Amino acid sequence: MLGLPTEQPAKRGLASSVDEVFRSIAALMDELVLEVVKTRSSEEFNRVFRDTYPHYVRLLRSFSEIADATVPTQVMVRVTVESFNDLEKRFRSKKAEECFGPAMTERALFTVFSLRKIAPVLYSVVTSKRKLASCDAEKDRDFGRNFLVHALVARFSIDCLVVAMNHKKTIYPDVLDSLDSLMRAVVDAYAWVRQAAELRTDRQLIDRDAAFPPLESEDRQLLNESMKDLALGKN
Amino acid sequence: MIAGPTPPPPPPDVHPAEVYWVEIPKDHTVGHEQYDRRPYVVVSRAEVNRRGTVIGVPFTSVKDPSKMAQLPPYWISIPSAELKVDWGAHLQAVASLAKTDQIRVLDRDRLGSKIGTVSQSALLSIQLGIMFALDIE
Repeated sequence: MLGLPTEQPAKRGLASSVDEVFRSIAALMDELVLEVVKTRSSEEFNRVFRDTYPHYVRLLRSFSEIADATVPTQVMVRVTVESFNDLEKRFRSKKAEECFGPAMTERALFTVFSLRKIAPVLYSVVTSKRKLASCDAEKDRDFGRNFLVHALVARFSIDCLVVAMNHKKTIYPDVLDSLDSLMRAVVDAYAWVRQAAELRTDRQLIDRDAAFPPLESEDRQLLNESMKDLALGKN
Repeated sequence: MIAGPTPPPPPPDVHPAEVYWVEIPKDHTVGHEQYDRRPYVVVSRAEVNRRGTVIGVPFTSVKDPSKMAQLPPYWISIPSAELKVDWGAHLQAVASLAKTDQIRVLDRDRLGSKIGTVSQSALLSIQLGIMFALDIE
């Protein structure tokens, strides 16, 4: 869902009817985002954001559900990658820096980079067939909720920048600051999805060294001797 | 069996997410490199750390939250709740920034007293900052 193109959905491999639906939803999302982009102060931004964001999330969910039902996974993966490439290219352009200044452009590039990192982890989570223990299932729900909250907000702020560029709208400094703090959520989104992914593997994140207990000197000697034996071809 | 001098005990294991005081004298650095006494979070694996060096990222405190937008995105914000200070460290956790572009190899002898541990979530966020700073795809 995070990599779904809201800008150029007409990519190779999408049926024209699906493409048309995507375009319509993308146009509606653009309209909502534009309302937020046009605000001039942080107070106004907060007010408009509160009004429009729930609709944006609903549209994004529809977008995602239609994609899930109609687009083959391989095509979706390719479209997602292309979408991130496209976003990155736009934020690396001179135009982006002229519109938002170097600090915000760097923040946008970092956000796209992070969303790109999130995509395969998210894919591994949603396609995992591993059954979670009940205590893990509860943690998983928690991770999932937190991930969605943070990831969608980050994606929304990226969309704000893209829509501003498309419509040649200047974003007021107060609003840019608000978008900056929303974009910071992408770091948390990454952390939440990674933790959800870790629940589905045997690897522990911080205690990963537990599998490598320190060797006592006697054990080390034994190990050295057996390695020597192995090297010399002894049994 | 002949009794000899007792060998010194091996240094305790250093784990990722642990935070230590590290002092880098100013005359060991040039230009924009970090110096002074700072908390460093260990980001290298425990297996790597057993070889005598660790890889750490320095923390800096958030002086003016209103200027956060001007800071690089790969300086990862660590809220105070994400740092668990060890009992006996006599410190209060404060909101910090992990400067992932100042990642540094540290000899284990450089590690001072242990301050505490950052949360798993904070460590993962710092890893993301490092990936961006080092352009790891």
